[in-house]
Amino acid sequence: MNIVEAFARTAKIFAEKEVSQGKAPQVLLAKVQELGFFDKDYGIWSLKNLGETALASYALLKELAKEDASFALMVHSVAINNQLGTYVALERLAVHLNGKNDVINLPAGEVLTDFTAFELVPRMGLKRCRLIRIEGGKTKEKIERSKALLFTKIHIAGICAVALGSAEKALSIAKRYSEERYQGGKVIKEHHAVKILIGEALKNIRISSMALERALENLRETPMTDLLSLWEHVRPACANTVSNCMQVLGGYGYMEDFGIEERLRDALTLRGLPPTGKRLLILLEEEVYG
Amino acid sequence: MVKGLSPQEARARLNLIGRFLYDARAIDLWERDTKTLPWIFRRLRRKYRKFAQETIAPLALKSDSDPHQIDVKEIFLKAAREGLETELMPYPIGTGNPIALAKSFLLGPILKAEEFCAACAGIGLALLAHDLGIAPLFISGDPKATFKWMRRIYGEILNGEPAIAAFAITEPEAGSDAEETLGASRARVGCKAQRVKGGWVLNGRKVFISNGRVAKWITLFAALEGEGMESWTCFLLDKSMKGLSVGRSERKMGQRAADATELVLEDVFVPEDRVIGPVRGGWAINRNVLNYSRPVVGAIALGIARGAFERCLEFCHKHRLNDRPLVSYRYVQLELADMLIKIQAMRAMVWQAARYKIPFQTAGSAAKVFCSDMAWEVCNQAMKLMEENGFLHCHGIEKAARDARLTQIYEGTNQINRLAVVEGQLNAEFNIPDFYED
Ligand SMILES: Cc1cc2nc3c(=O)[nH]c(=O)nc-3n(C[C@H](O)[C@H](O)[C@H](O)COP(=O)(O)OP(=O)(O)OC[C@H]3O[C@@H](n4cnc5c(N)ncnc54)[C@H](O)[C@@H]3O)c2cc1C
Repeated sequence: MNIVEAFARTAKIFAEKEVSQGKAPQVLLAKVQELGFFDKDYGIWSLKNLGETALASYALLKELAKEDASFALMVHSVAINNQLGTYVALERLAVHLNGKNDVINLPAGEVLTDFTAFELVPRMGLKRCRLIRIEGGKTKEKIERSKALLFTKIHIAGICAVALGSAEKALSIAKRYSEERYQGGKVIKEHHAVKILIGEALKNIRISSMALERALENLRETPMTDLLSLWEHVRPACANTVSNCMQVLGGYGYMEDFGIEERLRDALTLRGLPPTGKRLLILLEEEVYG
Repeated sequence: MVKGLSPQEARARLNLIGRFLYDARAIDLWERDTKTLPWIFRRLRRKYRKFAQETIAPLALKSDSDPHQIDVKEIFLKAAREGLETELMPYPIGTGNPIALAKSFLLGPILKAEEFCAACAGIGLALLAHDLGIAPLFISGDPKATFKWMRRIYGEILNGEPAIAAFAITEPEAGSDAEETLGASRARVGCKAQRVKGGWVLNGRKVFISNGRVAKWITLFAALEGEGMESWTCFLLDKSMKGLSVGRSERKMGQRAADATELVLEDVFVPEDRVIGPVRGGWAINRNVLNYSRPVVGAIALGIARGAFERCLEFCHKHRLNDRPLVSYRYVQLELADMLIKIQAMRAMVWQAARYKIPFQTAGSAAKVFCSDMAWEVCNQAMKLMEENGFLHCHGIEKAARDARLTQIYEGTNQINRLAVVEGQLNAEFNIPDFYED
C-alpha cells in the first residue's frame, strides 16, 4: 500500500467512525494528532516529502470532508500551521486561527501582528470552524517569496480538496437515493432527467479531481496560474455538483435531514472564500501577463 | 464624463419629434416598468411594494434565523386588513378587483409575489400559499365553492380571524407523481376517500404542505378508494375536523418563515358539501391550479433575484476595495449589468405569462423554470461578487440564495416542469404524440 492509499484508508475509517459522530473538534484534532497526521516530516503537507504527501494530504482531506467539511478545513489549517509554525490567511481570511497568534497573509507572505480578528458569523456554512477576517495590523516581517507562493498553492489545493470530498459524498447520497426512490412508476435513476443531473455531477467531480491530482503531482513546479484556475473552477463545480444532488432528492434534499442542504451551504461558503468570481479572473489574467 | 456624447446630451440636439422618439431619461427600471402597466395594476404594484417595504422587509432576517419568533398569523392579518389576502375572491365576496381579474387573472398575483419576495421570500411564501389554498375554490368553477366557502372564508377574515388556507397534493410516495401525467398514472396513492352516508371518510398523509401548521382551511386532494389519481377529488377541510392532525414541520434550508408541514388524516369525515368541483374532478383542478401558480413561482424567483440584486448593489456602493467603492470597478459593473439583464428577462417572461387571457401549462412551466434557474444564478453572482460578505447572514444575500434554491423544487421540480413543456407544447407544435416515455 502506498502512502496515498494509507492516508486515505486511515482517514476514511477515522472519518466514518469518529468524525461522523459529531464529536467536539478539539477531541477530533487530538485524535488526528495521535494518528500522526500532524507529523512535521511525514504528516499532512509535509514539506520534506511534499512529492508524496501532497497527494496523500489531498486524499485525506477529501475523506474527512465527506463527513464534515468544517472539520476537514480545520485539519488543513492546523497542518499548515504545523509546517510553517504560523497560521496562514489567504487575502486576510483565515481558518481556525487563534486570534492571539501572528498570521502570514498569503500570497504577499507578510507576517501580520497586532491585527484585529473578526469572526465571520453568523454565516451560511462551515459553521463548525472559525473563519476569521483580519483587519489592520502591522507587518512584522516577510517570508521568502518562494515559500509564500508554495503555501498559497498548498492552501488553495487543500480547500479545493475539502470542496471535492464534500461534493463526492453528496453524489454518493444522491446515487443511493435515486436507486431507492420510486416516481413515475420506476426508480428515479431510470429517468433521463435524473441521469442528466447525476451525469453532470459526476463530470464536475471527475474533471476537478483529475486536474487537482495533476497539479498536486509536483506542486512546487505547478504554475500559480494552474492553482488559481483550479481555485476558480473546482469550487463552483463542487457547488454545482451538490446543487444537482439536492435536485435529485427533490423536496427531501431541501430539508436538513438528508445532509445535502448542509453540504450545499458549505460548498457555497467555500466558493465565497476570496479571491473569487470576476476579480479572480482578473488576477488570473494579470498572472498570465506577469 | 465624455462631453457631448452621452445619450442625454446627444438627444438635446434633436428637434421636438426627434427628442420625443428618443427616450434617454435616467429613470429607475421599477418606475419605467410600472408605467407600462394598466392603471389598476400600477396602483396595485405600488401598494404591494409599500406593504413589502414597511411590513415584510424589517422582519426578513429575523424570520430566517429564528422563524419561531415570527407570528405569521399576525402578518397575515396585517396583509388581510389591506385587502391583500382576499384578492382571488372577486368583489363583493372578496377584495379582488373584478376589472383587474377580467384583464388578467395572473398579473395581480405576479406583481404581489415579486414585491413580497423581494423583501422576504419566506414571509412571501406564507402569504402567497394562502392564495394557492384558495385557488381551487375559484378555479373549480363550482358556484358552491365561490358563494358558500369563499364567502365564509372572506367573512372570517373580515372578522379579524387568521383564516389562512393551504393547498395539499404532495404525499410521501407521490411528489412529482402528483404533478405530472405519466407519473400520476402509475402513482402509489396514499390519501384515500371512501364514500359514506352524507359525505366521505379520508385517510392518509400529505407532506411538505406550506402553511400546513398555521392554516385553518386546506384544499386537499384524495383518490377514491380502490382507484388511482384519475379519481382525485378536491375536498375543503378545516382544522377543526376530527381525525385531521398536524405532523412534523420540516427544518428547511430557506424560505423559513413559511412552515412545510405534514398533515395526517385518520378517518376524517368530510361532509358532501365540502367536495370542491365534481367528484373525480380533482386531477383537472390540480393541473389547472398549477397552470395558475407556476408563473407566480416564477415571480417569487424574480422577487428573490431582484432583492438580492438591490442588496448587492447597495453593498457595492458602500463597500470599498483598495480605497475605492466596489461599484467603481468595471468588472463589478459588468457583473451587475449581467444580473440586471437576467432580472429584466425574468420579468418579461412572467409578465408575458400574465398576458394570456387564460393561463396554460407551457407558459406557466416555462416561466417557472426560467425564472427559478435565473434567480439561482443571480444570487450566486451576487454572492461571488461580495466574496466573504456574500456568505454572511447580515447582508441577506446568502438567504436569498437559499430561498431561491427552493423555487427550482416546489410546484414540480424544474425537471418535471420541463416535461410539462414537452407535454404541453411539443405535441402541439410538432405533432410528436409519444412524448411520454423516457
Ligand atoms: C418547502 C416546500 C414547500 C412545499 N409546499 C407544498 C405545498 O404547499 N403543497 C403541496 O402539495 N406540496 C408542496 N411541496 C411539495 C413539492 O411540490 C414537491 O417537493 C415537488 O413536487 C417534488 O416532489 P418530491 O419532493 O417528492 O421529489 P420526487 O418526486 O421524489 O423527485 C425526486 C427527483 O426525481 C425526479 N423525478 C421524479 N419523477 C420524475 C419523472 N417522472 N421524470 C423525470 N424525473 C423525475 C425529480 O425531478 C427529482 O429530481 C413543497 C415542497 C417543499 C420542499
